[in-house]
Amino acid sequence: MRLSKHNQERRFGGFRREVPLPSAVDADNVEAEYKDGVLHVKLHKAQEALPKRIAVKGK
Amino acid sequence: MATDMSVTQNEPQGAERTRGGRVYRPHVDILEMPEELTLVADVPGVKSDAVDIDFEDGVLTIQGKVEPRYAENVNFLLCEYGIGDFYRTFRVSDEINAGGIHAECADGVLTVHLPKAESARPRKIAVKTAS
Repeated sequence: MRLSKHNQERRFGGFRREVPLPSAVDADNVEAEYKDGVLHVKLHKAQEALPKRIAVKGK
Repeated sequence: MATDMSVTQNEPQGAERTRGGRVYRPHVDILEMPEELTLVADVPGVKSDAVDIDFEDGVLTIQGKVEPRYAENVNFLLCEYGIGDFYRTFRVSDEINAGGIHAECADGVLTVHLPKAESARPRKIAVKTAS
């Protein structure tokens, strides 16, 4: 493949995406970080979605 | 009139596996400006100090190292994006002033400036009027 001097492979535009979430999240506790062209969004699971340990009482 | 200032890609397409992990071939735009060729590459996740640019025997090599983004054994619910280093080489013709090549990297976009050699720059010829 020969690249001409007006080679254009990159796409230009904004980004938008909606992602369905698999479990309930704490909407008031969302962290986001953008660095070097990479966006990290951290969505904490809602209390009801966290695994629970059930204590078994002995007799 | 355009000079033949071609840039040719050397290596095959696609991601390759090396011992260090995956290596991707970044998408690149090349623009001709009056004084230089400008090469723009998408290298998301590459910090500016993790870019290596070499020019040797007419071959320009751009490399970007990407640090691992996740802990090992992460349980992915969705994984569409491959993480790896970036690598690509170009054959550049003689009309480039190799000593003047410089680059910057910001927000995951690498820009390499390849100044044209004096002989390849557009020139205005002054026309003297006979007095």
